[in-house]
Amino acid sequence: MKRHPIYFVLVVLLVVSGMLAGCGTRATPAPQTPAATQPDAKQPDAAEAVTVEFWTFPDWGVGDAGDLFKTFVAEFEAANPDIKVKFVPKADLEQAIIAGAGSGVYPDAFTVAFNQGDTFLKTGIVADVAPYYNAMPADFKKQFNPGWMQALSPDGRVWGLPFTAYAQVLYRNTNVLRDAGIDPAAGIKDWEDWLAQMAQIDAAGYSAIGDLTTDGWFVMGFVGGAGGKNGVANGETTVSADALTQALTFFQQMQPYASDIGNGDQAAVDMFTSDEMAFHIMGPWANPGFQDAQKANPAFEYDYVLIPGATASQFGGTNGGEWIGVTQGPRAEAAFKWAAFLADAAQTRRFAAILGRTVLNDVAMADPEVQKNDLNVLTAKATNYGFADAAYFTFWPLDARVPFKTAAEAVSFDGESPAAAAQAAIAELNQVLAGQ
Amino acid sequence: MTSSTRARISWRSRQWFSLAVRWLLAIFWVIVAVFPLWYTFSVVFSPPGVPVTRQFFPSSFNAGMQKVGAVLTQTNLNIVTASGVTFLYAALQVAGMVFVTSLAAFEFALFDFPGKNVLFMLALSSLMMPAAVTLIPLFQIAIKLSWLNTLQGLAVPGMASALALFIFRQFMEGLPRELIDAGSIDGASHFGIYRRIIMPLSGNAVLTVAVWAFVNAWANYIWPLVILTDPTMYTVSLVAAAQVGQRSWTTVDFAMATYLISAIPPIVIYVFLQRYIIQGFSTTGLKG
Amino acid sequence: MKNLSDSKVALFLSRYAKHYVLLLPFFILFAAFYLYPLIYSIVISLTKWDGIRPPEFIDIQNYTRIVGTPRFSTSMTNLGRFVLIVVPVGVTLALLLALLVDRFTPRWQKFFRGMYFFPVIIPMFLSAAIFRYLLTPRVGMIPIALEVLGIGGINWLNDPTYMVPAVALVDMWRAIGFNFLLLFAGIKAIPLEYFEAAQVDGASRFQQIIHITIPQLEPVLFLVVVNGFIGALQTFDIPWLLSLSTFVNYGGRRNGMLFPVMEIYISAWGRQDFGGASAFAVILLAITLVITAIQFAWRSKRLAD
Repeated sequence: MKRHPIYFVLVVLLVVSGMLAGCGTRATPAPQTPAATQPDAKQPDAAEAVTVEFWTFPDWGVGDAGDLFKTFVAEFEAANPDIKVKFVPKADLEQAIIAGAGSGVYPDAFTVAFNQGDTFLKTGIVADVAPYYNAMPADFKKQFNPGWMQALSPDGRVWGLPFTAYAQVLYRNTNVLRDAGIDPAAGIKDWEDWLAQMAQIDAAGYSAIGDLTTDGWFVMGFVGGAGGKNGVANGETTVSADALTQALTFFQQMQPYASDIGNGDQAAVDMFTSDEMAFHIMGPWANPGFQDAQKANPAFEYDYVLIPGATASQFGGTNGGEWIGVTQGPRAEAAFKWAAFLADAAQTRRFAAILGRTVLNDVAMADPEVQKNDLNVLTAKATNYGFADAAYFTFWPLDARVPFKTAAEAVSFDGESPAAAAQAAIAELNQVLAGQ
Repeated sequence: MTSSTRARISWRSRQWFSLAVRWLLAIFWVIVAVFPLWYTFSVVFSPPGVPVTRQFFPSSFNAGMQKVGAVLTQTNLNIVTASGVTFLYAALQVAGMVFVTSLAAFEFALFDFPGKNVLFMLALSSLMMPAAVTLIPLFQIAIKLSWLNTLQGLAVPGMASALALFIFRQFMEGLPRELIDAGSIDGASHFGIYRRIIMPLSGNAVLTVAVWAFVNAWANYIWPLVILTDPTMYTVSLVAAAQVGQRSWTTVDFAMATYLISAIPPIVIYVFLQRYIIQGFSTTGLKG
Repeated sequence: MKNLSDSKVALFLSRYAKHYVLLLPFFILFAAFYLYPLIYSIVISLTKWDGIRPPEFIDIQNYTRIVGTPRFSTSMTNLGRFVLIVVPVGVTLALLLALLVDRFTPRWQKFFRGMYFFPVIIPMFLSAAIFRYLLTPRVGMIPIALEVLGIGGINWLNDPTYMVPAVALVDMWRAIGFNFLLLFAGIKAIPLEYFEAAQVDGASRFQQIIHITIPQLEPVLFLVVVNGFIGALQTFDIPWLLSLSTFVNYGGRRNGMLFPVMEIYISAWGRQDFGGASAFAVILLAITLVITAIQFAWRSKRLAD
């Protein structure tokens, strides 16, 4: 019988993989071990090139963002001939860093969400860049949004530089509004006004808004709209029961007009673009989809506004941000140089102008090119209101949002009283913060 | 009309009826099985911005081709180069897995030896532990072996698949024992029996395991995620996921285009493997 | 006496060595990449560990703590309901499908075999997203079809009563594809002579199926059932994707789509509680082992009779 073909295939593959393995190990730098293990191999020489490995969000590695980062890397390397930057877009990078920290596999510089800050500090690999930061010129330090910079520098230490931010905004289908007898130009004053509009929309046979109880991320925004502020003091939440009760009352009153389709579902988005739903709450990343919808159906009209709050001077919406950090080790200084370069207005200005992202750099945001993008300007404004998606740089486990969702479910579907649900939510949240 | 004619006619119509039902059921399941792929295709081949949840038929060839073109010509994190790496790693893993597990299954299926049942249960227990908890120790071992960013780091850890072992064992159990006795009478070595008698008859099992293992390797996400820090070695699953992050600014239809393209190679491989493996194995006397 | 034990060892080796040798490649790889992490995880279940700093021993506190939590009981209940739907229905339908396809000509068999495997080939992310569209209340195709049949008002995605069946639906869709592949291959492996002999004896098609196909298929059927249980107990990706879960918001309404492996995943990677996650995993492992061992024991007994 003929020679078994599978052995041939196996041998070929083993040979090929052996060759590739040789290439693979040579091409990658040795795993980044903490300085203690191999001091002499890692001391950066003035004449030798240092490679800073930079891990960041995967969608910044594709498309226009990817091209922009390529430009940044090239410009930085040209200005700093002794530093090379290895750009690594990595999904789930928080998890990857945790998995690798114990084995010394982690980057020199990284971007990470503010709500993961505490987790990252606990890994023990984040470098306190206060010495480098304080040595920077005053102009450099002034460009960052003070509130967010403050969050990054508790008790004299500086953990990184603020980079980008997001906030939820309210998208409105203006055709549906007009059909229901509402003038879009009038805006929405407060929650009372908003509920009245929802009632009108419902009476006209449309859906007002999707189901917002599906995710605590939506509910939190309303707590912010009632004046609540996220924070933790002495291991307990600083969210006021009053703000929570007000938000939950709104949820209860909104329930008759809310669809049973989740606000985060694609089906809800489709209803919105098909002139069946009036409102949609989402971040600015939903906009490209709406722009496409307008191209496909020019009759579709929409706008975006700040999410209304309980009173005319309050606004809602959950917001969050991302920062650039640096890990300890011999390359920390070089890595900070890269971080400072990225966070500087010269770069973040382009990030905001070309990609339309909100950056936490006041100088960059003031740029006329950036100001032309009204959604970006709106989002930036929204980050000053609403509710932060976590208590930053303190123990805030990821499922700390769940009590908000549970409370919203209770008042919307179980008829629970908002005050009681608020109390239960705060108790549950404190339990979570205590680590149970 | 005689009663026998009536009987013949009713038998005929029963035959037709049963044929129709058979076809109906079979085609029904084809529709159910293929529908999501068809649906994805429809969304991709429709203009951007149409309501995604309502696209059951493709409506624009050009739009689809444009999206496909955009995905294939990405300059950063390109899916074509990733496919090359992924194909190599998947093929390597499949080849190794088929060899190693069929060898062990040969023993478990056809012979007795002390500790056989304990060893087999031990092997099966590997299927009962989620990757979430075994990831860190596994990663530590791979790092100690310097397998970060390597093809063997991708392929080898998954090779000793207990499921493949189980599949081979059950198929081999069904083979007639007389063949083994005939083989040893003819003077074949122990390994020779495996190679010349049992394996040639295991074409169906090899096809099943190879196809399933390839598809699995192709779709594997968590392991490549941690073992690869070099974007040039990224597998298709990582590249596709990069397009579709949680707060990604990518639109839904473009994301679907990426996933659609990432699914093509396994389909092609399946068709190819089906033909190649069945031909490569002798199946005289068997239904296949 | 030394000579006797020497020869005993020698006898043992001469009889069994060749078997262990062929088992070696598998078990070496297995020991390195499955056994070591398995034991490591069992040890970790007795500690408090965040994945980075050294673990500290805390005995069985993880076990006593998590067994009392509502998430534990909810996820286990969901799992129980899920497994009881998915395994019997998934195996039976796959078997019927395999028998059905066997009735066609070889060319059509190849066609169906190719088509029926698609659920396994399509990336789960895609199929889950699409099923979510299909199951959307009122506007999804499945509720619409059910409405036509007179069954209305089921909210598959947000009503805790129906969320587990929704997950089961999607899982069976994929599992049937995989089980079909195995069962059909098993049918193809049955020697033609058996059927020819039965035909000569005048057995009807149905009798052939009962007396030849199914008994011959027993090893593969056993595989499909046992693996069905093991796989179902480890279910993660479908409920995760179907409920649009993320680290910060998972399980769907009232944890209707919360499953044990999901909770384990979140404990480990969302809360950095590897000790608790491992403890839950060990409990799941123990349950699965018992169920599997029972099936194997029952089979040995059955085959011995």
